[in-house]
Formats: sequence, structure tokens, C-alpha cells
Amino acid sequence: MMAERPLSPFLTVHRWAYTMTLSILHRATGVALIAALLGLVIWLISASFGADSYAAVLPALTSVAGKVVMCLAVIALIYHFCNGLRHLAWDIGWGFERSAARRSGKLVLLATLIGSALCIYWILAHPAGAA
Amino acid sequence: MSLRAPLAQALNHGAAHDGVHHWWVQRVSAIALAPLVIWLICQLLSLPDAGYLTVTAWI
Repeated sequence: MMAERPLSPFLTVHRWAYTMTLSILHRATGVALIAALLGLVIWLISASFGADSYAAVLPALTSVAGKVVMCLAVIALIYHFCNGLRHLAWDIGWGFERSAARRSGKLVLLATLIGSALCIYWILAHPAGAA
Repeated sequence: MSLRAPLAQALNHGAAHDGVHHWWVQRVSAIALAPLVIWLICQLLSLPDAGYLTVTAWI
């Protein structure tokens, strides 16, 4: 039942625009990157503990599932990086107008697409040999 | 007209009391992290393989 008085605007009263999706993706990728960072740290710590512990951890990273997670982490990192620069530009007052924000949003998506495609190609093109 | 209570106005604090500090810490860490992320990506991509000797030599 809706109250008969003015309500403060919330998500549901706004017409959807893709900049909203970009905004929530920034937060989602930020949270996901915490998990990815944990994986990176586990990898480094296992190497610091010696060859045996490294050999125990490496198969998890080079498995198909590990590579999928790694590719997703790369996409999340590059998206969060590009969109973070967009946020920093907003902080100094650049690009706040609606048209500019939409244009920079498209630019971020394009940069993420190209950047992560290059990184993923690089990762998959180089076999992770356990030398 | 202000919607803030007189006491809040006198103390000049927001609800969390350290919002401005938190804001600055977030910006400074973000600006510091930006070049470091580029560095990390370049470092990881330049590893010839993920073998134990390569990785420990890199660390």
C-alpha cells in the first residue's frame, strides 16, 4: 500500500538507463576483485612456502575452471580500473553531464572489451608450463 | 532552510562522523592503486611461464 505523501526517489521510480548497470557493475566487480586478490595471495604464498606447496596449488589455477575464473577476474579488474578512472574524473567535476556520462560509459565498455580480450588472448596463448 | 538538527549543525559532523576522511582515504588509495594495477598486469603478462622457478625468481 503506497502512502499518500511524497516518497524519496528510489531505484524503482527511475526509468532504466545502462549507466545504472555500469554503476552496480562497478560495485560488483569491486567485491569480486577482493576474492580474486585472495587467489593471487594464495598463489604467491604457496610459492614462498616451497616447490611442494606450489605444485599442490598450481593445478587449481591451470585447470579449466581456474582459467575461467582467471579470465573473469581479468575482465573485472580492467572494468573496475577503467570505471574507477571515470569516477575519479567525476570527482574533479569532469564529465558529469548526462551525455558525457553516457559517452564515457561506452568508452569504458569498449576499453574493457579490448583490454580484457588482449589479456585473455595472451594468457591462453602462453601455456602455463610447470618448469 | 536546513533539514539538519541544530546539534548536528553545531558539531559539523555527518552521520558517520568521519565521512570526509573516509572520502579522502578512498580517493588517495584509488589514485595510488591505478599505476600499481598497470604494473601488476604488465608483470604478470611478462612471466614466460607459471613454473616454480620462474615465479620465485620474479618474487
